Amino acid sequence: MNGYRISLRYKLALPVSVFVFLMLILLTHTTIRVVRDFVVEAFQGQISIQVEDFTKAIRSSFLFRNYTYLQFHLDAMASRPEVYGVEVVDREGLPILQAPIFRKLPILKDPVSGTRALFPVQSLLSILFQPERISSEEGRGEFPDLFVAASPIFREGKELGNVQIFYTAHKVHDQIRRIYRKRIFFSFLGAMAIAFLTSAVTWLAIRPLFRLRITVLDILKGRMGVRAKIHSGDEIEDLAEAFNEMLNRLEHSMRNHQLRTEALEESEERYRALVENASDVIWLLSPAGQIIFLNQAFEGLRREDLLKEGLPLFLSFHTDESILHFNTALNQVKKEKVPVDHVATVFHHPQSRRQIYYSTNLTPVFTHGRELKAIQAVSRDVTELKRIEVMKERLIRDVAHELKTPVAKFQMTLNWLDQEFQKEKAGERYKELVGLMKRNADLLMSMIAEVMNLSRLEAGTEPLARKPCDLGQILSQVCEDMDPLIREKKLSLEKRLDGQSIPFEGDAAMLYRLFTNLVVNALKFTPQGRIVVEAQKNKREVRIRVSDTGVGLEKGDLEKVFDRFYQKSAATPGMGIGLALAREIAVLHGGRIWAESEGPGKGSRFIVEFPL
Amino acid sequence: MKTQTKLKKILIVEDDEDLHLLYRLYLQGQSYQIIQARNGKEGLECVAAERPDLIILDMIMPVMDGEEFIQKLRFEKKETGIPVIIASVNDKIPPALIEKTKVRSVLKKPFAIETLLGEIERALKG
Repeated sequence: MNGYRISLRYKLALPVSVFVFLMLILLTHTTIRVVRDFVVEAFQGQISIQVEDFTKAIRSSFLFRNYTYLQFHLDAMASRPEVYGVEVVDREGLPILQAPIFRKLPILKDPVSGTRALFPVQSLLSILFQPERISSEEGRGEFPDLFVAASPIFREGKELGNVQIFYTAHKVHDQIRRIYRKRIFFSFLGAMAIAFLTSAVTWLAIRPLFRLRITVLDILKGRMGVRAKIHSGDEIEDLAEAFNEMLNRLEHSMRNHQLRTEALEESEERYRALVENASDVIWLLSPAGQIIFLNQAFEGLRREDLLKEGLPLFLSFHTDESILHFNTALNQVKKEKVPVDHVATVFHHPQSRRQIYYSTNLTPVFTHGRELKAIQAVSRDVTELKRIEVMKERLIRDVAHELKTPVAKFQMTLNWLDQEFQKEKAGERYKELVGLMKRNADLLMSMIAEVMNLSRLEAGTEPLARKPCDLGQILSQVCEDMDPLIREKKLSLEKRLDGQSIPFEGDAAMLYRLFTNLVVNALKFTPQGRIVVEAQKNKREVRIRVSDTGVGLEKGDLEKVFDRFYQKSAATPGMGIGLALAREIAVLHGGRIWAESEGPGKGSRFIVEFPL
Repeated sequence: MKTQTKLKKILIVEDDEDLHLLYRLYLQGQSYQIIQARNGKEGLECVAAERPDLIILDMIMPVMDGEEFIQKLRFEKKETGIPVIIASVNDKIPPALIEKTKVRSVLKKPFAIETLLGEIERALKG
């Protein structure tokens, strides 16, 4: 915007006013010319009559050469205010008498012959207020503006001389000036009136525009409900309507926007409260390891320090094993962009050095472009759980241990009895009974062992002894060891191992137990048919499958079979803890296990998958 | 049974009375002399008094447990010649202990008669 501004009403009124003013001047000018011509003509008529009358009056004096009387007449005429001078010339144009006698008068010459003028010479008025003087050609500037009237003196048709009266133009000019002073004043007044009127009319026409402007200013002040009420019946009304419509839409969309913002704020508030009041530590990590958000500090650490120093500070209070474990999980989240749950770490309280167990779930957070933006971590203090778990494990172990000794003694007694009955013939009668007792005592013992193993594995008190081993070899061993039992039930066992070795890093004893449990489970639920043990391997993982032609599983049971002591109904045999232990072992080796079945009566498959 | 040939003496260090009975039943008819001790302390006294040819040792016992017994036997009493078989319900005996104290073998309870007899025979042969 430029520094100056002119209101629209002046912009519109000014050209009109100027135009009107110019027209007025032109009109005035034209009128003046006409009036002046009139005035001059009237004056000329007046002076020509005067000169003729004067000539008649002095004719006799001239004829009789009574110059004294003639001079008297001339002086009388010259004394008139409008008369500049009077002169009587002879036929040749030479002066005879003049009045007033001291004043030099113009010599009139015929413009054609250059000798003398016979007709009155008009004044050369070209400009209204600055009358030029008339004069003889050589004497220009010598005289004031003059009119001259001449009348010849005849005797018997012969011209004897000429009377010339010089009038000053003052009278004419005064008259014209008088007339126009008034006229000009009035025309100026008229022009002003017209300018004012134009301005007023223009103002009326553009007034709605100003109202529109006020509306806009009101809206800018925040009064959104204001509307322009304009009924001018022209383009401005159209503009106002369009403007109002635009406002309506704007207001509508603003309301929507506001509602959405409110909803967002409300939900944000809700979630913030949730996060802030959560008992878990919820934090957000940048891929570089900075802590972007933290709802509460880890025990013994200050929130500000954590936010400033990030992950390294947190990790510095961990055992090397925990740090490695946490970083491995974090890298997995970063690389594979998948959540990693239950990352167990042991945190040492900075002051009391008390051990705090945390279980952390790491979840990647993405931008819209699927780029990793941050990692969300939810850390739960599981120290109490851990303590209970250790207690439970100790309890189970103690109970199982206490059970073990009596059962062992029982087995040993049966063992002796068995031997004794073999020696005596009478023993035949009890052989079967002793066998039954032995089998059940064995079962009891193995169950105690399984319970102890599972409890130990779940508590994590005894880490796996992972060493390089060969899965193929372990599977062959399992098949070999299970063969007598399978043949006893008149089933067939098929091995599809291709004789290949599958090098793996694991606890061989545990893996042996895992596969044994799967085969035992198949055996338990397969009345007839066969059991197939197969292994498939590619570059990234190995899959071991134990399938049977047994009773199969219902869809809802596929997950539950891995629960401890799961039993579908009182009539069916329970699962015991064999599969629960199998799952625990698989998971501890970083693998997974699941069951598949086409349905009841259609057999089932148990699949274990280990990453290589 | 030849009385002039001296019977081999087997010391059984075991706190469980039932097991003493079972050992007796298992070894019935075999030409071994059985000496019974109820704990490690008693066991050490028996070793001094009876000079057994073989010791079958339980691990968990009151007063003095198996571990303490064997360490005292080997390093305090310097009885390095007597073979020791550990018989326990717990199969997790620290390998370092077995090696240091020259334990002949470990029997996991329960065991069969043949297993026990086989182990004893092998231990006595040296």
